[in-house]
Amino acid sequence: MQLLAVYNLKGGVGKTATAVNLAYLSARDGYRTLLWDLDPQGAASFYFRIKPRIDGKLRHLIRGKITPEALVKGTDFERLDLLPADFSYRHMDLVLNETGKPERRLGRLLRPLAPQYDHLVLDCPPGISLVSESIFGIAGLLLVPLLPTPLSLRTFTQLRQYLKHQPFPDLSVLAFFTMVDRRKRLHREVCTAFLDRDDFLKTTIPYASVVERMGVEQAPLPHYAPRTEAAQAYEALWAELRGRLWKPAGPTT
Amino acid sequence: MPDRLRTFLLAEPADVPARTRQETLAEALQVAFRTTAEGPFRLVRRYLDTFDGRVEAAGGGLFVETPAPPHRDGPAFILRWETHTPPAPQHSLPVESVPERAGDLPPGPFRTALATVIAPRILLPVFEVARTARRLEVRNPAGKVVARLLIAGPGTVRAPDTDQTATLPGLVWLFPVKGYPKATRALLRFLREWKHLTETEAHEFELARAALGRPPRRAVQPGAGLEPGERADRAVRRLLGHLLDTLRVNEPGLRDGRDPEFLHDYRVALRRTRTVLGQLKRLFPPEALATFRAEFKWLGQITGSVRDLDVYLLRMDAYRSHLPAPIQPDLDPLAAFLERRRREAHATLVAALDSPRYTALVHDWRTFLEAPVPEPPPTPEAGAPIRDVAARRIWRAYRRVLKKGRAVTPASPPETLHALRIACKKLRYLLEIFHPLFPSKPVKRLVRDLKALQDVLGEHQDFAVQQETLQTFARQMAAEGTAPAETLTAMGRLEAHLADRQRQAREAFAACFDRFTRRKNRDRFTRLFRPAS
Repeated sequence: MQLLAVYNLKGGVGKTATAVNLAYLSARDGYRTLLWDLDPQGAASFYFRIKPRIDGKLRHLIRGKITPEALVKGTDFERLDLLPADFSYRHMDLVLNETGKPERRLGRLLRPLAPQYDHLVLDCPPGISLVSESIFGIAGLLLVPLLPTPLSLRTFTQLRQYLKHQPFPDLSVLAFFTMVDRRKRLHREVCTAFLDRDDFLKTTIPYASVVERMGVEQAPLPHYAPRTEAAQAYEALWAELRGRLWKPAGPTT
Repeated sequence: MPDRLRTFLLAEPADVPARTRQETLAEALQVAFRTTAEGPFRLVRRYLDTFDGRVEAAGGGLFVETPAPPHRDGPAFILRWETHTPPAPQHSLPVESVPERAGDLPPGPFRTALATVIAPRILLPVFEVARTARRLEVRNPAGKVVARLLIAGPGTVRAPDTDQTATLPGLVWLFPVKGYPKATRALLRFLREWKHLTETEAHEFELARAALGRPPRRAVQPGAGLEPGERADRAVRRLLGHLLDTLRVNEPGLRDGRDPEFLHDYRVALRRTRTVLGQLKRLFPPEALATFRAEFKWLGQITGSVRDLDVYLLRMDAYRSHLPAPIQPDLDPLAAFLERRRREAHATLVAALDSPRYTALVHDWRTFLEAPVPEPPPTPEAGAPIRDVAARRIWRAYRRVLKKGRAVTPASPPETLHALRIACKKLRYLLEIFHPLFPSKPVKRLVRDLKALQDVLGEHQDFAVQQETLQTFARQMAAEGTAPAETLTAMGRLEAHLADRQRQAREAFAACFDRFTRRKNRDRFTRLFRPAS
């Protein structure tokens, strides 16, 4: 099972839309995919019309009294399941902190899911907390959506600085630009400047109202508007990532 | 397990009324539940399995279906592997063409699961089932899908090999959605009360097979239908006739040449034939015996050269994995070389199968086997009950294994182990062929321990042969000018690895031999096979 965490220090950069669309495309391509909504806003769950009823169960889940499987919900799409979130997730740090070895807890929780899924996409809460640190410890790939502005880039630099001093040897970090407005000169310049950096993906996601409609349609963008420029951009982003998620195949027999 | 797939048979009267029962059921469901419906559309499923039914033996059905309703950008087919029994695999995957091997799928768990079941065989179309179907999605008040149903009318099943067709009853499938057990239960209740539905544990695949009146595809067990008291020479002739059938059944697969397992099965039957002829000489007139033994030896050589190359090609993945990743591609020229050689050897084999010599052999052998046995029996052994003859032969082969095995010391040369391996092979074939004449359980145990011993001996021999063969390949490639320096280096590293493995096998030998000759097994042999004298 490959772990892909979509993460940003600050919110409001299209993080959830990215996680939902990539998880959808992964399942469409035949991979058994689980999207774990870790954001207390539960936006990813909302996009799939799934009403989470986690309330008191968070503590049980973190402490291993119930398995994550008991909370998994199938989405409307084949091969795509969701582990929903609700507002109680705002306490996850506290609950994690009550357990021994909190930074290893999430990894332990996910172990029984490994044989059932090929890809696990994590929609992470913003900020650096015990939850995000646990995720850095288990994720194979950290995907960081950024606005093409100096301030947004600064958060990425801060994240890289922070990770430099942390022991996450298996974690690779990739950033890409979202909400790109081609009419703004600043956006164009920033995108061009970062085109060749090897910690940046080539694909950029345009700013488009059709992406915002995800909340109205309550479905992944490539499902309800596959022909739009924005949906095609997510397709390109997924195509770029797909090659990195599957390590070259060993012997198959 | 609330998440498993459920299947119901839908009875439709023979004379189709104006309103079919599937329509009535679909409408009743739409009244009782909040649903969105699609269809009716044509649902065509092409079931796939290996020649010897490996998918079916693993449980469930593997099929491709055209996505229904089709959409412009969608994949050409959906490949599905359905079972009624979790935690067996329930896989689905969009594919652009009907796969033949596990390697045709993208890397991932479906490919791995399929390879475990079918490799190295290829998938062949088994049946095609066509129906008219409707799809219902049951939703909750929030508009979320909580269960899916597929309602299919009576179908036609067609076998592509014979064009034979049969009709199938209508079916209703309930696909639960994870995490919505209430909806699943409500639908199950509804379907169980519907009067024209009966729940079934059978998969459509099994229904299709039964409708065509075909037995499950299984490899024929050698020695089936042996009677312990039957006259030895008659029984053995019938047994050899079965082995000849196996040879004939696999011939088309040998000619086709894509699936290496046909050749493998062919060679097993051939080796069993040769073992019987060698070990039970006294049951046959000597002049006929000499001719047939020579001819089967020729077949062994012709098929052996293709099989050896098949085995090396099947090993390529493992070979690559023994080397560091960056130099793995250096072995590609070796793979290409093997492919070329295999094509040549395969052409030679097909020419042999088409030759008058082969036709004559099959014809003469069949005639010989089906001729009435001479009266009175030519030798006392030919007239004795088969069970006694088999026991005596197995006993002697077993004593030979003991004698050769006990003579092995840490200082013994590889040839000693090789001779022991040949003796083990003969014993194994005898045990397998005459298995039905003796109590099943102890024989199974003996074969299991013998197999472990053979594996170690086989590895030891194999690793030695592989090293020599690689050197030969390297020389031949160099002569052709198809061996870059890095390929030769990679092959050299591979040889070192194989030498290591050979040493390991040699070290494991003593333990395996001790296990095979432990008290319990010696007692089994004595009890089952020791002559009463």
